[in-house]
Formats: sequence, C-alpha cells, structure tokens
Amino acid sequence: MTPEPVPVRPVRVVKETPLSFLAKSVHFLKRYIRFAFAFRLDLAMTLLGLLATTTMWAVMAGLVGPAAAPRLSAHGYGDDYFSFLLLGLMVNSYLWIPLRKLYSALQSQWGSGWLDFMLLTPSSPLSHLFGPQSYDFFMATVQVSFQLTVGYIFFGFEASPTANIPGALLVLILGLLSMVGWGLLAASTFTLLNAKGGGNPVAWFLTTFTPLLAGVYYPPELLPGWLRTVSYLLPHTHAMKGIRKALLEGATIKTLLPSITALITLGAIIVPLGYLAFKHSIKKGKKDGSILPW
Amino acid sequence: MSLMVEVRGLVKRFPRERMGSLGASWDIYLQGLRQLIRHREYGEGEDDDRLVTVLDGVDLGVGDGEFFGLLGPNGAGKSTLIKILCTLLLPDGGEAYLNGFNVVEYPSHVKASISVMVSQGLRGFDQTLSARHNLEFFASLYNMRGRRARERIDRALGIVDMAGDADRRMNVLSSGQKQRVALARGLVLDAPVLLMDEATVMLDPRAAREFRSYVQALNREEGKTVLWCTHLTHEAEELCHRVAILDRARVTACDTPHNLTARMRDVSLLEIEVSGIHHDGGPPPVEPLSTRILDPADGRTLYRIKTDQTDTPRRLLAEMSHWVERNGGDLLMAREVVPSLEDVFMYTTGRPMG
Repeated sequence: MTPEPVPVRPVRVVKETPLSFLAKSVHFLKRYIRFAFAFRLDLAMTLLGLLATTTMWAVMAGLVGPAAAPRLSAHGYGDDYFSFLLLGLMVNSYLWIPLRKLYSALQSQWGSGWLDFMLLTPSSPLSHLFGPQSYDFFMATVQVSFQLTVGYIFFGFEASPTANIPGALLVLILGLLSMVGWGLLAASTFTLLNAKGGGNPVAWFLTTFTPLLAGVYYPPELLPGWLRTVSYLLPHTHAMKGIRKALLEGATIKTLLPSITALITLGAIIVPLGYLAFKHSIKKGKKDGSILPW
Repeated sequence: MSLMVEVRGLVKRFPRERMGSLGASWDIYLQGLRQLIRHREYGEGEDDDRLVTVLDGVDLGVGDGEFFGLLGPNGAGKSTLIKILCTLLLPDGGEAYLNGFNVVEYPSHVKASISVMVSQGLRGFDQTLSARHNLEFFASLYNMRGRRARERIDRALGIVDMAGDADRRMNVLSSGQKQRVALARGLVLDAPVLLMDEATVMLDPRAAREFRSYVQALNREEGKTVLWCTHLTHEAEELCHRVAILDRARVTACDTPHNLTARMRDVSLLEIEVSGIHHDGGPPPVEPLSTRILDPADGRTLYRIKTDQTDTPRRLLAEMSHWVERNGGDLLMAREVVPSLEDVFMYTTGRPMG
C-alpha cells in the first residue's frame, strides 16, 4: 500500500474499536427494542408460548424422569430429568443464536436493502452482523429467565446448592465463541453458495444432527461408541455437558477442564476458518456483485 | 481545480449467469458451488464469453465543488460506476479515486468522503420508527453519539426542511418527505461528495423538483461535489455544470451541456408533426433522428430530423410534405428547434435514450 494520500477535502476517518463495536450493539439493541415495543402483543404471545412448552417438557419429564434418574446420576448430571432437559434446551437456544442469526442478519439486510447502506458506513461488515445479535441475546436471556422462573416455581427445577455459576458462564461463553465460527461459515454460504433464499445450509446440517448427537434430550454418553466420537466434534456436546455438570453437580473448574479444553480447541479451528470464509465471501460478493440487491 | 472524483480506464465485468434469490434448496447450493468453482478465475480473461462488460475503459474527472452529470439509458453502466466509487464493488481494471483516495486501497477514507443516495433510497429505513430514530441509528453506525449526533441530525433535518416532521413515523410521511429524510441520512455525515443514482425516479414531478432544488442548494451553498446519475436529459441540462454521456459501457462525450449541444451547431434540427399517414406508405424519405408517436389512435407522430448545409431545412420540409401528401396524411406543424442533450445523445451514440 502506498503512503496515505492527501485528501482534496479533509475528512474524519472513523476506525472500528471495541468501544465503538459495543456502542453499535447497544444502538442495535435499542432499535430492536423500540421495534418490539411497537408490537407488544407479539411479546406477550411469545411468553405465553414459552409457558406452554415449559409445561409440556415438565409433563414429559414426569413421565420418563423416574426411569432416567439412575442413568443421569451415573454420568454426573444429577437425578432430575426436568432440570437436565431444561438446561440442555436453554443452552441449545443460546448456541443457535450465532449459527442462525449471523446468516439471517445478512439475509434480511440484503433483502430489505439495509446491507448496502451498512457496507457504506465505516463499520466493519462483521459489526453489521454481530450488532443485531445483541437483541437476540437479550431476548434469549429474557426467555431463559422466564423459563427458569416458571420451572422453579411450578415444576421443581433445582440446581445444585453448590452450583458453579461462573464456571457455567465460562463454558457458555466458550461455546458461543465456537459457534461464532460456525455462524461465520453459515453467513459465508450466502454469496459462496448463493444461499440467499433463507435456507442456511450450515445451520440445517447442525440443527438436524445436534439433537441426535450433542445430548440435548439424553446424555451423550448413552450413544453408541462411533456416534459418541462424532458428537465430540460439536461444541454443543461440550457446552451442554460442562454447564449441566457445573449447575446440577456443582463441578469445579478443574472438573470442567475437559469441556473447556475441547471448546477452546474446537474454537481455535473453526473461528479462523469461519472468518477466512466470510472475508472471502464478502470479497467475492463485491467482485461479482452478488452481495448487492440493486 | 482539484479532482474530487477521478476515474482512469475503469473496467468492470460480471458473470453472465448472475443469480438472485432463488429460494432455499440443496440443488441451488450445489449449483452455487459449481459456479464458484467455474468462476474461480473470474475477471482474469478479457475474452471470457462467460463475462459481460459493463464498464469498458471509462475515464472521468469531477472537480471539487462541481455538479457533474452522468447521463445514460438504463443499463449503460451508471449504477455500476457509482457502486465502484462508493466501494460496494471491486473493479476489474483501471483505477478510481475519490477525494484523492484510491477506492480499493482506502475504502474507509472513501466511505468517510461520500454520501450515497439511490432510487431505492427509502430502503433501509424502519417504517415503524420515526425519522429521527432512524437517523440516530445511522449516526451510530458512523460512531456518532450524544450531543454531536443530535446536532448533526438536527442540522441535516433542517437543511431538508424536515425538522417539523422528524418525530413522525416514516410510514406516515409522503414519498417526497421520505426521500428528503434519505437525503438527510446522507447529510448527517456531512461528507464532501454526494453520489446520486437516479435519486428522483420514485418521486412525482413536484417532489422531484423540490428534491433537485435541495441538492442544488447543497452544491451552491455548501460546496458539495455532486455526481448526479440520471437517464433524464432535462435533469442533466437543468442541474449540471458538466455532463458525461455513458452508453454501452463507454463515455461517448463529456462537456458542459452548452458545449455538448454546441457540437451540433452545424446541425440544426427540424421538428415535424404529422397525422393520418397510411401504414403502407413506407418510411419517411429522410431518416429521422428520433420518432415519437404522440397519439396512436390518429397516428399523430413527431419526427426530429437532422439538417445541414446539403440537406437544408427547406429541402427536407418539401420532401416530407410530399411524402405526407402522398400517403393521405396531414402536416400539422414544422419548426426548427435548438438541439437538446437527448439529441446530442442520439447524435453521438446513433440511438435513442430510452
């Protein structure tokens, strides 16, 4: 690159910093909350739907719980199937956010004409995709808190008295970081595979096989040997295992080390891969025009 | 005068088979993967028949503070040029500089130097939020916060006369007001260059006139450089200090509107209006520069005919009169007219604008 030229008219070039990135996420959050409050009944209906599904899980857990309890405790997941299931589903709902929403943010911004304006701003393309996630995480937290409260008050959800909350949060964050890599891979299919129709092939693959492999509904240790090996390639498996053990058994950081190490290793592979694929997809989109709707 | 926009030998090619949103299907992903592999050398071969050339060695220079028009029919390459200048597309050849910065090497500097408005300028606005809330959000994307952002937004809304309606939801504003909010969005940044791509296409004539006057005032009073892309010759004539005619991926002429029309100084134009010509009467005896059917019911047609020292207006009028008479029609009007930019376009490219 040649030395920076002298502009005809002076301009203030804005550089992306962690602070500006955070500020943008807050603005995205404010924007979506304003939007959500324009449709308040939708919010109420979402909570009503969550109440219905939590009740359904509680009834199902009541049915299979007594039979499942010995096998759960044998693998270190406590002895309450409802708590096991509720935590698994909630971790799952957090981990899906980067996988699904990075792609869907790109797709909806492309379709609505936002994307070109976003790309014209000094913000990096990544901040346009990560910004809207602030609202998704906010909403997921509202929903998870609601479900835990309902589960605790009505259906006997119980964490260990020695629950390791910081350990669970650490595992959740590492799981989310790994999923960011998968999310970037998913977003890159938008131009690389022309996946503009909302299909998200990467998410399809993972959402189809994760419930089978990662242990959302049962401990992954119950899987046949070769399937168990495949399940270790998914961040979900390690995130769910670590969080359940931390909250239901009060596992210490030392006990959680295998999950933490696995998540760091998976993240170290998938995050750079996802970043490179996304960077290449933006370059391809700008080269052949496939990233622009106009 | 320093050049605010400089384009040298710019080339852009696209794959012939560009695919839009085709729905969600594994067959489409597979097709996309095949295309990805097939186009891995895309843009490297000039004679590649899989590619269509949209810009073919375009040269342009726009001075600081100039109101510059890019005139051409749909598909001429205007939008592609704008997209390259605003860093949304990468060129395949040549160089482009904006505010002195190479658009490929210094995209952040270029983005800080431009405000862009396209015909679909209303896209990207949340219709359920107020104009002000939308602008606050866009200001945040430029890292503007707090008092600075509020001041910029108030100023931008004031310039486009939208201060009084800023707190109304976007979906209750008229099209003209929405377009003014879109202009205000660009002004929040206070960039020295305005890139306008068919910015008035969606507006009714009155709103379009008002909008043009706002942009003209920004050029005149604030010294903004304006690159105004249009297919409307009257806009280019009315607004621009200089106009480049872009046709089929190339710039065919570039000068002031006056000088462009003066190129036809030795060519006067004869405008003849006729009606009731028999269909079997054949074409006119002289080839018109343009033919416009005014009323298909009675065959009322307006011909513009190029005249010169050999084909004098008097001689051509006589020939046309005989042809009209022979075919049972009426000659309604004949007059000599001053050439317009539309005539210049047809004269230089050999085909009409539309």
